[in-house]
Formats: sequence, C-alpha cells, structure tokens
Amino acid sequence: MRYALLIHYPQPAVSTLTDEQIKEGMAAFQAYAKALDAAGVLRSAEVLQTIASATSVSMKQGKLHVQDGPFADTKEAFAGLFMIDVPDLDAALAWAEKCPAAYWGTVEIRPSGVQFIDGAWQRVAESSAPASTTA
Amino acid sequence: MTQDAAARADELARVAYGRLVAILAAKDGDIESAEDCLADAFAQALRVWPEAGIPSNPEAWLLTVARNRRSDIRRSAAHRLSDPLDEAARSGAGALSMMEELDPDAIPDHRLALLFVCAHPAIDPAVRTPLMLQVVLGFEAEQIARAFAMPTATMAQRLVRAKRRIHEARIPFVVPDRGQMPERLGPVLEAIYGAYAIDFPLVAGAEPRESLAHEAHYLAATLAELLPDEPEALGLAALISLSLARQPARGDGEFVPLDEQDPRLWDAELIQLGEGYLHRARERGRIGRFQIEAAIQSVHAARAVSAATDWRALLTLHLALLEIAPTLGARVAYAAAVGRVKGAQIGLEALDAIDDESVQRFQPAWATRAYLLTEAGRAEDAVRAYDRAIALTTDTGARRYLERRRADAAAKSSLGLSSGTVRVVPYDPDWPRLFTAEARRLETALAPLPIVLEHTGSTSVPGLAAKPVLDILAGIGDDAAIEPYIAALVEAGYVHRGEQDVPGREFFRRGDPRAYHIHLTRIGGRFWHEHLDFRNYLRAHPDVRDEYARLKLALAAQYPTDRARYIEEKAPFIRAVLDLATKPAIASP
Repeated sequence: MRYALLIHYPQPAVSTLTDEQIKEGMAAFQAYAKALDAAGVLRSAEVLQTIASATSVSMKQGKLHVQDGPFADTKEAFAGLFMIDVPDLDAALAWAEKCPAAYWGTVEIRPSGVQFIDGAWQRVAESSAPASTTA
Repeated sequence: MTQDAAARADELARVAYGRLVAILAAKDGDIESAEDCLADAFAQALRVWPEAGIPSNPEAWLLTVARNRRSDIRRSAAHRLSDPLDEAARSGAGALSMMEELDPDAIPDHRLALLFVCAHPAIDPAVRTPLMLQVVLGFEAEQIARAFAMPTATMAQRLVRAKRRIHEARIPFVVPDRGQMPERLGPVLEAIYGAYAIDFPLVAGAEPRESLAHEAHYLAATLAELLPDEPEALGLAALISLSLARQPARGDGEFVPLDEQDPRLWDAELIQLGEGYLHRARERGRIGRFQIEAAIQSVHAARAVSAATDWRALLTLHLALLEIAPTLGARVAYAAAVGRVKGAQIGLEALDAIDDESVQRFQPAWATRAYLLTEAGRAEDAVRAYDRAIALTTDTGARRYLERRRADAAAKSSLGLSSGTVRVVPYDPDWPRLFTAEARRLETALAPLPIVLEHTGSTSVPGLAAKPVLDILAGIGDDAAIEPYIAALVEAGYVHRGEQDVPGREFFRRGDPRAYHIHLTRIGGRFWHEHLDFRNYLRAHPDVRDEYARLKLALAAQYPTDRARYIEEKAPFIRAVLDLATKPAIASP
C-alpha cells in the first residue's frame, strides 16, 4: 500500500533560521531518507521551496486566473512529501512519527487512491508490492 | 600549567557540576540562574587558575564565585534579598566561614534532592530524563537533542520551560521522607532508566547510544550511592551495569539478539559490578521491578561462565515481573520465555492472552510471535508475522536481523514431509544453515549434557536431491545415561518414536509435517560410523551421488505413498556404498 507523508510546517523567511538550524535540519532529513531507503520502503521524496516561490493557477471562474502565491494562506503550509510503500497504516504511522518535520510541524498520512501505471489509472490498494521483500 | 588548570576545570565540570548546581539552586529553586552563575565561575576559573594556581578546594572556590556572581546580578536587578549566605559571601569573614562549611564531608549532597526535583510529578515525564542529563551532568541542550534525535531548539525550549516551572511553582529541593519515598522514587528510577533505554530511531549504531548509556550508568550509580538502603536504586544500578556489559556484543550493523551473542565479548568487570549491586539489593529483602529485571540480566550473564542459559530460572523471574509490573513489554517477554521452556504453543497462547489493543502495533510482540511460530513449525504463519514485525521496524540494524530470520522461516517452509509420503526435491543450499541453526538450538536445550551433532542424510550432501527433511545425527558417550537426553529432546519439541527396529538408535521427529529427524546414538557405535561414512563418501564422489539421486527420484515416483517400500528398495544401494566407503584399498580421488 502506498502512503503519502505530507509535511506541513510554518514557512519561515529563510533569514530567521540560523546556519546551525539549517544544517541540523538537513542532517535529520538525510538520516531519515537514508533509513527509509535502507528499509526499501521509499518511493520518492521531495522537499519544496518556500511558499514565497509558489504560483497558483485556476480556471474555476471560466477564465485563466494566475495568482502569485500559494492557493491558501495558512500558518502551516505544505512543504514536501515522502511517498512510501508499506503494508498498512500502522507501518505508515511508525515511519511518520520518526519524520524530523513532525518536530516543527505536522505530518499528514494519506493513502494513495489511484496511480497512473502503464498508460492507465489503476487502483493501487491491492496491486502494490509488499514492503518487506527479502533479497 | 595552563593545560593543567583547564583540564582540572574540565574534570570538575564533569564531576562537580550537579553537586554545585544542586547547592546553588536548593534555596530558591532557580536552576537557570544557578547554571548561568556556575558557567561564569568556570569561565573565571579558566582565566585565574593558570596564573594564581589551582585553589586547594576548587569546588568551594567555584561555589563562592558563583554565589558572588549571583548576588551581583540580584543587586543590579535592584531586588535585594535578605540572603544571609550571599551576604556572608561578600565579606571576608563570611567567605572564610563558608570555606569551612564547604568541606566536602560537611556539606550535604543536594544532588539527591535535585534528582527528585527533575522527576517531580509536576514535571512532564518526557522532559525528566533530558533535565537530569542537563542539570546533574551538565550536558548542553544540543548534545541531549542529538541523543534524542530532536531539533536543538525544541529540546532547549522544553528544558527552559521545565526549569522555569520548577522555579515558579516552587518545587521544593527536598528528599522525600520514608512515607513518600516509594511513590516518589519510581519516577526518578524511570527517568534514569530512560537515559539508558532511549529509543534512538535514526542513529542506530551511532555514538550517542553508547555515550548516553554510560551517563545513565553514572546517574544510577550515583543514586545507588546516595540511597544505599533503597533496594530498587541498587536494582537499577545492577540492571544498567549488566545490560551495558553486553554492549560490545550487540553488533554494529545487524542487531545481534541476546542468545546469539558471543559471551566472550561481554564486559566481565561490569558484570561483576552489576552482580555486586544485585547482591546488596537482595540483602534489603524488598523485591521490585528493577531488581527482577536485573536478576533476568544476571541469569543471561551467567552464560559467560556456564555456557548455557537457565531458562527455567528466567521463566520464574518473568512471571514475578508480570506480578509486579505487567507492562506490555513484560507480557511479551514472558510469552517468549514460557514459549522457550514449555513449548512454542504455550508461548503463542500467552501472546494471544494479551488483551491490550496496542499489542497490534507493538513491534516486539510481532517479532516474538514470528519466532514462536517458527519454533512451532508453522513456517508460513511465521513468515507473515515477520512481515508485520519488519513493517513496524524503522531501525536499520533490527530490520536487517528480522529480514534474515524471515528468510530462515521462508526456507523452513520448504522443509516438511507428510507422514507416510515420499517427496524428493532438488538440493537447497539453505539446508546446511538450517542444520546449524537447529543444532545451536539443540545445544542450548540439552545443556549441560554433552552432545555431538552432525548433519546427515541426503540434505547433508551438496547437490543431492532429497526428501525435504533434515536428518541430525546426535552422538553421546558410551557411558552416558540416555534418559536425560530423551527427556530434553522431548522438552525441545521433538516427538520420541523409540528405536523403530534399529537397535542402538533412538528416533525423534519434529514439525507437522515432519521437518526434522534426530537419530540419537552412541559415538563409536555402528549406526554412528555408517551414517557418517555414507555421507562423506557421497560428498567426495559426485558420480555416486548423482546415481543415488536418480535412484531416489525413480523410487519416489514409483512409491509416492509407500515410505517403507521406498526405504527398503534403496537399502542395497546404501549397503554397496558403505562397502566401498570402508574398503581401505580404494582411496578417494
């Protein structure tokens, strides 16, 4: 089963973080991604730039609306995601609680619904490979 | 000289930090200011000592400077307090009398009160261990944060909040009296143990695990020294000493579980120290959780001397632990122990009896279940339980270990033959490892009885197709009584089937469908020699081996459900090979 660990945290202006804090955060993320990778459960990982660089697009009003900024201005903003492949929610929780971002924000766990594979959308709940394959 | 002074200040910082903070903060509970002033005092020592020399009583010197610094701050903040000691510190006479008061033997050690403050019921349990590490041992927030895999800012904030709370709520710096002691001591022990049993999620094998374990040991030893009549304080010191002794054997990469550790790697000095604490605790005659856990460690440690683990003693202790502290961990540990002694099925029943819902998310419960299922011969269920345990494991070393055990279980499911049937499968290179694993298990189960175990039968010949049943040749001495062996093997899960028409051989099988055979016989007897000769000859002669394989496959096809006939028909071939094997003139190529 594939789960997205969606990271949300307050987006500081970069200048409010000290070099030490940035270094420490990077080291924590490095260790976390390596542990996920070593366990063979990591599918992808992205940490996004801050919301200052966001651009939002909508056609809801019938015409193109391009907005300079995030779609919602909230205190904690979406900041990155880890896609992991684990058997169930308990396993996803075990990983989510180890995510460094949980210390300065919130990690939302969302199971994947459908996935585009081999040219078509497919349900992923049953089709995905078990997380623990042995060599 | 400079180096001397710096080194001395450094050493004092380690040894005396907690003592000085405790003295400074005892009166008003202001740990933050006590730490600041002490830091200033240390800085001043580094400036002054190299030139003026190290004072005769450096601790008293530091305390006086820190106290002066503190009253300076107070005066400049314009809130003059009527604090006679601070007043005295500023006058020469006062300073002198204080030096006398500061005779290390005369001044009461407030560290004990400080430990009780750190683990006060009004302090968040999660911050108690970090708080002790900081105020008693002088660790920086950054070091503590790294050990707990937490951002420094978060940790620092928690520590400051806890210290303010102590000051503002006026948590008293006192040692609880005898009446309160039982309920107040528990949290102190828990917090110290927390520094040892800390879950290091992402730094497996990294140094903080080790360094904090030693700090926990230091704290526990300090507490035991300050409360020499509290058996549980002694019990905790024993527990940490004994577990820490096994650190070198735990493995750097893949996790090595207790009963697979090499006892020669254990630290004999720490074991001795732990046994000493445990002995002193027992003399007090009041049993408790940490003493029992230490006693469990002590039984395991005895394997270094006796080469065997006394599982019955362990079972008794685990049962006692359940009575006193029925935590989820204790219940799972009990299931593992009872499964070991009374059989995997009983262990599984004990696991099933755990009614706590969180057991479903408890990784040790799944690892234990997987182990017991493997032992019960239910390899396929075991594989599923290992999958679950692995999914809940984020530590790389532990995961690697579980994945290997899972592979073992998966391979075991390739063993097994229903009664009366014959099924010959291609050679599996995993069979020798399965033999080694079972042999090790049997040696433990049989100890202290001496035994020689040999892998025999077709699974012992590389490249030979075989029935998926592992044959183990178990040899005992000519004079040894056989009954204790039979009893021990039955205890280890084997079904005893008697001689089965082969005089001098006791036959055992295990697993349903059958996966293991044991042939118990005397070393030097005919059965022993023939089986080893036959195996060795086939190992050395691939052409004969292949001929044998062809015969077995043909017979298996001919008599798939007639085991007796199958055995009967291959007998002439075996006889012929044995003749060849024992004919001295024909040497091996």
